[in-house]
Amino acid sequence: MELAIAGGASGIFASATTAGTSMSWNPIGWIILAVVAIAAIWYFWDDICDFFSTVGNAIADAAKVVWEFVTAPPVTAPPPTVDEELPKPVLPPADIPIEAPITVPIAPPITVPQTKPRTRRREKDIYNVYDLHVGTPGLMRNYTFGAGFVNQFMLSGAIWKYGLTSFKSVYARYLVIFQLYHGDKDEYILNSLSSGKLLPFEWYLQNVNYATANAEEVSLIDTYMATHGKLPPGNTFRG
Amino acid sequence: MNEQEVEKLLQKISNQKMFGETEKAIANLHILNNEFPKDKKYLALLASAYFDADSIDVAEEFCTKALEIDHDYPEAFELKGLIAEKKGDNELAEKYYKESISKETPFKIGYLRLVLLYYKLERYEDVIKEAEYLLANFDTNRNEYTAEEQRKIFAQWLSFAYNRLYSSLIRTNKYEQAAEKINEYVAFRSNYVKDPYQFLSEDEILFKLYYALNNNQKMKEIEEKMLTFYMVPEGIVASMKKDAEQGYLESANPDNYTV
Repeated sequence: MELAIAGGASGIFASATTAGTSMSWNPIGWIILAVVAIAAIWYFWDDICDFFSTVGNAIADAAKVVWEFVTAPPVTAPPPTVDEELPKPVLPPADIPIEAPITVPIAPPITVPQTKPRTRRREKDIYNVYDLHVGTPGLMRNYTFGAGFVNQFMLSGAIWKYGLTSFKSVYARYLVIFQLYHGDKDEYILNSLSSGKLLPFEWYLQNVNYATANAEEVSLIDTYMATHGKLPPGNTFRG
Repeated sequence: MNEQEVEKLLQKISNQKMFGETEKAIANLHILNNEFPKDKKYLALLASAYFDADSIDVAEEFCTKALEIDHDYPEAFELKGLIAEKKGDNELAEKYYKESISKETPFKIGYLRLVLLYYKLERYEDVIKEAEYLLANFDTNRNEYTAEEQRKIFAQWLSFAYNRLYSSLIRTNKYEQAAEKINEYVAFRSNYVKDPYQFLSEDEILFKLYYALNNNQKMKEIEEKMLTFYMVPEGIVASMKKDAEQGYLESANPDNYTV
């Protein structure tokens, strides 16, 4: 029906157009065209209203979207649910000027000396104090803290080192420590013990706590220092 | 107790033994022994722990129990030998050590115990025999071992075997063989030793041996090393020569030195 009407209207427009060439330049023609236009408007009034309504709505909707986009507050991300467990933020240092020169430390930072943690083992009565003395006279190493050693002739029986250990034999002490740490001094002592150049005295004190054993060792070293003016050759520090 | 728990407990026991907590080690070994009463290893470990704690009679008792389970258990015989030695019965100790090496399984520590016992008893020919057997038949490819393994065998038995062997050879006037063994010992240790000054003691003996053997070439080589490498003063090198002339090859005569 609509197509037929459209076809009809196009027919009217066609006839008007074709007729226009003869009528459009005289008043009667203008009146006829006005009547036809009024009739067409009257006839298609609902369609014309729908058209302008749709266009108006579209323009209004677009304007609304644009307006809402411009005026809406910024979208915020939801807060984490574990927010309270997060550490409190650290405030940045106040007002550091970017152009301020940054000083680079040349010397390495001073490190806090790492001390061996004290354990309850030291309270146990497991420590023994011993010495290593010269078995066969000959050249023996004489150590100085931080300066290595020199070879010195030593007589049989001369004290070479005082020490304390929780091991049940002096040889076991050096055997285990040498295998763990591969120390040159430990190897020297181990070889000297197995060849008899050094002999152990077991023990000055046996099965005491660390403090007691240490006090005894320090006392022995101090006595040695009082008579010899130096540490025993195998000791590099006092106690 | 599963295998993993046993392993863990053994590790603990090892640490306790190592750090002097013998009583705790014994307690833990008893736990293992109660769990596995027929396992000879735990009985022997108990014996060893009691031996460390100077409880000789209890140690012997556990050795006997271990031997009841395995009549050919070399470690138990070795422990029995150590107990006998501690009691002062060297003959019995020798018997047990010999027993430990007479079994099918080669047991190098048994030979080492014999070497140490014979040396203590000044039976140098026996020392030489057992030490040479030990060195020729155990860890034979030791020069190819890793440094870690070489350190381990050095500390466990090799240093004792070589030291007692060359000392016995010197004491039986076999100087050339002694020098040969010292060189062998130094060559082995050179594989892993980082400290180049570690061989002064051996070089000192070698110097005296070559001097005593009139091997001028070798003696000069070592003399040069003494003076320029070990930085030994000339006076001391001269004293070493006097030692060699007087027969102080392993030791030194204090009269020759200005102390």
